[in-house]
Amino acid sequence: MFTFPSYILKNNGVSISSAISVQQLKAGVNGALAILRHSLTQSGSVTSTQVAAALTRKTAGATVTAAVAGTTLLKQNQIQPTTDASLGTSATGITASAEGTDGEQTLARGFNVLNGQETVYTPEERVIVPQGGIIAQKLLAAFNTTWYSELVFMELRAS
Amino acid sequence: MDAVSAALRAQFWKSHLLLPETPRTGDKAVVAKQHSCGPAAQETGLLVRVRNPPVFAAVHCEHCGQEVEDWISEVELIDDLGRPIPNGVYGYPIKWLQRVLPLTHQDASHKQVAVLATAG
Repeated sequence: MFTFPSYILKNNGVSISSAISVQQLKAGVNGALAILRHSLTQSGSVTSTQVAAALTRKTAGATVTAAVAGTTLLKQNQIQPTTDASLGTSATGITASAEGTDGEQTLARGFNVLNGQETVYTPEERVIVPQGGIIAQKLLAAFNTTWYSELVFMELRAS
Repeated sequence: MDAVSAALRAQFWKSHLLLPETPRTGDKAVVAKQHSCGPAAQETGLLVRVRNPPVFAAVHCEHCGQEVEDWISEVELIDDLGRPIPNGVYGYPIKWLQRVLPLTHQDASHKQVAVLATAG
């Protein structure tokens, strides 16, 4: 069967203490992408605390550590082509040091840090990021711990 | 869906590609044309259900990586009774699929319809 090229943007084991973007994704120039799943968990605390996180469109990208193909941006199937996503310090990357400008929040959800949160979209409600569009998974409340996050997306693009 | 994707999808429904045998969203379809690499060569005849309108995109064979750029619809594998078989997210060129029309009373004898009704 044929599959749409799908990728996982990972931010594993990074200490984050502020309410800031954990991951940022910028679509490439050849087409849109669809968000399939995203998750946020932590390993540094055993204290029950409620926080919140959101999937947020960006009108101006945050400053991030650029994603690296094969390290933080992985192919779902090794046989797939290189991602069309734009990698860079104001494009696709992890752990923001400065926020850009937030647009609409497509999803915001509170969760207990002991459980973490994971969102899987049904096909009808997948968030679409247009060509060149930016979206980020962002902590809405500061909580100092070691965060693990994933953002899984599928590219709907021409070659 | 962004405006560009929506416009592209709308374009498809107006195009000459839309034939009576082209499966629409929600239709059962059978794979009528296959890709020729080893494992994929067994795909002809597989039953699928079309999950959304086609979008012009590039997809890749999960076995060999061969790229196909065409009008692609997302499909799910289904069994004979139409139940989805949990597996992957597959995209298939819409032109490679053949619509399977549901059985109606015009197509079947009364006896067959009665049997189907009993089977639920």
